[in-house]
Amino acid sequence: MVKAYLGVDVGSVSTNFVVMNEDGAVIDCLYLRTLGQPVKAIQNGLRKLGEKLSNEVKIAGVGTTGSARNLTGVLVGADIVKNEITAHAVAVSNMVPGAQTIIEIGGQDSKIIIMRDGIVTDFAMNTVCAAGTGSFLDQQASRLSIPIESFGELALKAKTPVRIAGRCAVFAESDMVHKQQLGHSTEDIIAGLCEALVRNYLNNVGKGKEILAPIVFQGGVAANMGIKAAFEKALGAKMIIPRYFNVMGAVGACYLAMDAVQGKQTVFKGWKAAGFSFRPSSFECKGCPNRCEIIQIFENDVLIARWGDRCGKWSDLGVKTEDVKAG
Amino acid sequence: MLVSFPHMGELYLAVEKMCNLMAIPCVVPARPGPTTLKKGSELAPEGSCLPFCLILGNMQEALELGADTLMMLGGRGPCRFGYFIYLAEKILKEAGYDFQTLIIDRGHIYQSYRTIRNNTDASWSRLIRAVSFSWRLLACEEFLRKIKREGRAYAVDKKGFDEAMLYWEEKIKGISDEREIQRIEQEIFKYVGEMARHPEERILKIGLVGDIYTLLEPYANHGIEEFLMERGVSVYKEISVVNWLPNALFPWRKGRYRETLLQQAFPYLKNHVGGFGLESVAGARRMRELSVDGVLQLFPLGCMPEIVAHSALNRMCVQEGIPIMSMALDGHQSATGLETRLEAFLDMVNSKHKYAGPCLRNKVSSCIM
Repeated sequence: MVKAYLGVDVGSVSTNFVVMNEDGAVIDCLYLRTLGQPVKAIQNGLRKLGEKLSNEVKIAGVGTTGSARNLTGVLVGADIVKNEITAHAVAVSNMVPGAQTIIEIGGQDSKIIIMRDGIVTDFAMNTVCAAGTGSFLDQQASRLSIPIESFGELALKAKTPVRIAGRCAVFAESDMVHKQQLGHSTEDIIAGLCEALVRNYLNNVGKGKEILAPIVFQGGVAANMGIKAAFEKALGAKMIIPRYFNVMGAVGACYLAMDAVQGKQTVFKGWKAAGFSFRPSSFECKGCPNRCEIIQIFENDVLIARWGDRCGKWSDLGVKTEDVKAG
Repeated sequence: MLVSFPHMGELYLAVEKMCNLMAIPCVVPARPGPTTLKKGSELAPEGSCLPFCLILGNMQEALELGADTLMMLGGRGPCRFGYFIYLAEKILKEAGYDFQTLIIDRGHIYQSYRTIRNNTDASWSRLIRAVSFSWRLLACEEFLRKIKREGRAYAVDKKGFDEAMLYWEEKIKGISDEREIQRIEQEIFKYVGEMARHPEERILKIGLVGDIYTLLEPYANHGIEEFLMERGVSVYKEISVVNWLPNALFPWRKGRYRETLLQQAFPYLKNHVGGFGLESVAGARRMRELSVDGVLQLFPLGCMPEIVAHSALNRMCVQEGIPIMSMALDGHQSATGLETRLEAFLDMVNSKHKYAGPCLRNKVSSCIM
């Protein structure tokens, strides 16, 4: 049995698992689609990994990250729950030592992290608009009925990329439709879209940032050759795409878990958690005008976690729902 | 006459007290929440900022409670805040509500006084006494909040600290005597002076700047102070009603106030840009003198003055080496995105604070969500 660490990154689009040994070598990794059902995706991943690895490795620590990090932490039993910005930075500082800039584009968000001497000195994340993220590319690919996998290759074949507004997903889409109706080739439109997304990224997320090489490009979108080429053209520098580019958040979570346990016993629930019955439910607390939406997680019908309250009164699992409904 | 007013943080305590002292019947609407936002956004013009939506919604809630008089601060200047009451009056009257306004603004004070006079038997002297006492009360209340947000991180016994703060909060609500206020303030001073403290260098200090409503109203800022305090951060915030209102209301204070701000904001911002833009830049500069580890700028989405301030702050953080993160807040219900950024910001500032030593702490940071 090898001692290993488990990192889980549950984002809007993908749910990623990485199992890493003590020396930081990746033993196995898994990239699944979340499909709007994080609980299912997490259990699915645990089952798959468990079938493969339960006789080979012993999990000594678990880290979770991504927008569903708290939920995942409760389901899997995590020794550390960390935000994805820190997780990505930790992964890169271990896997690509010396990197000064991280460009990360995922399903629903895109971020830039500036690192100097292995320490994060600056970062930014989009929220205003989803233009320029994986979901938008997905949507456009399916509108043009091009498989997302060949999207990038097609972009590289373009001769004269068309100009497309990249500031807003709605504008970008209407621009694309207009150009297509004018008779531009699909390749040129796709390449134009890639350039628009990169422009949008650099003008919004990357605004005012000192982007120095070596630049690491990661996240699901890093698989897209068209976007990579557009970045290289715009920045005049080579993009380094790490081997585990699409699961870097989970890689970071592994390193964080390694750091967090330090000889302590892990709280990992084991691969068997894949078979537990987890049931989330929610209700609106009427205790004050904040009207917090409280989430409750039941494991085999036992309440194991509750959050969403601003005041913290629900965090005590001893409080019964009936008690407070009256008050 | 039944007076009411929209919320802004804990301001209601003092205003309610003032009405009570003048024997003006008043009703306090519920604290802003999702219902308030829903009501406000339905009536507000498209693209209105979050503070306006919440204030408008809150006014509507007050009218639904039976209020027939709405009291609010007016003002002038490039920020929309000063026009809130004038605009809200129009919108609500068009929506079919019948009420009168008590506007606290230059040129309206006498008229507002007449309205009060016609409806109650409050005399000038009674009014002045009431205003002065509630002002004193507000100062005490804000003092307690300041102690709480700055001091909690230092307290070794957090539970004891929270209980003590809660005790005084309750006590302040019931005060009716100016000497009692003084006594409470001394008690608080004594408690903080004597409590067991963590050493200063282990505590992370974060300063908050931005527009006044977002900073004071916890619903508008997703309870950011509590969030930071829970993570052992000492929170600095200089904007308060007591610090700001006299400068906005009394013409003789305005000149000097602006001059000081301009001096502090130089050379990053050389003019008044409306709202609290200049305050944000000057405030961030002062935070630096208080040796805070990072500054958070909070503002409602689409707030022009703060967007101008944001550019100035960007430059300041590069040149002065202070991490600054700007966050635009709007009516989003989920705080996950906000928390992710805040956690990452704390991680970043913390690692600089811990490992890097003074040379790396001069490195730069800024970002906008």
